[in-house]
Amino acid sequence: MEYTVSQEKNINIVRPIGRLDSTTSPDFEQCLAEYLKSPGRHLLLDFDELDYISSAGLRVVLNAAKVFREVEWKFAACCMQDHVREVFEISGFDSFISIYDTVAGFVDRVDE
Amino acid sequence: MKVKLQIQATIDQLGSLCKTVESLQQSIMCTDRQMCEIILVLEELVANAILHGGGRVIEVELDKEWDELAITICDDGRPFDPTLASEVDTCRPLEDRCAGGLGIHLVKHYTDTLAYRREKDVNIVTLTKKI
Repeated sequence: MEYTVSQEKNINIVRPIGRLDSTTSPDFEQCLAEYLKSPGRHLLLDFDELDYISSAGLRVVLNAAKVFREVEWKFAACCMQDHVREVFEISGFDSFISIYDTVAGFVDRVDE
Repeated sequence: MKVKLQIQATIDQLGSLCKTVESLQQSIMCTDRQMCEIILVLEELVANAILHGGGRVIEVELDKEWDELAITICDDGRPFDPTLASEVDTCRPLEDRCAGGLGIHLVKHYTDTLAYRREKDVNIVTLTKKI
């Protein structure tokens, strides 16, 4: 599973690349573990380069959202392709995960 | 169009199965978006069978006639009837949500019919999708 990580202000931005499916999601879960252990920054999942997500990927996102529910930092996702966003919506994940159109949208929000 | 594919029931086979099905897009005559949905449905059911079924072999048959794609998935693992999976309540708050059942929830959303039968120690799941 390929991904990139960057930081902007007090936000960790993780960008998974390609597919989050039954094969790749365990890798991605390991990658995220570092940012879930004891969060010291906000976490933004930038899905700009994510082409596909299945329930295996949703599970990883759900676990991340649960960790951030307990802390003062925010967790969000952004830049979803239409069908990725649809999978989130069908699963009802849009009710508890803030989805931004752009990275800047989230950056502005946490600046407020 | 009718195609039958067979894989060993191991998770590393899933990628090649999906690639093979993607390569059939012209024969299935579907849009990119529909292909994405077909792959999602296949992945959810085949991954379930591989990870929880404990069988050895999985067979997938794709049959496109007119505007309908019929998919049949057979595995020789433990009995599992996806039509009996409990509904996911997508309105529950985050603290009550768990990931279980989401795959079947997505399968039901992206298909028009879903049926199950058990024959000679084999799970047979058939589904159809209007294309």
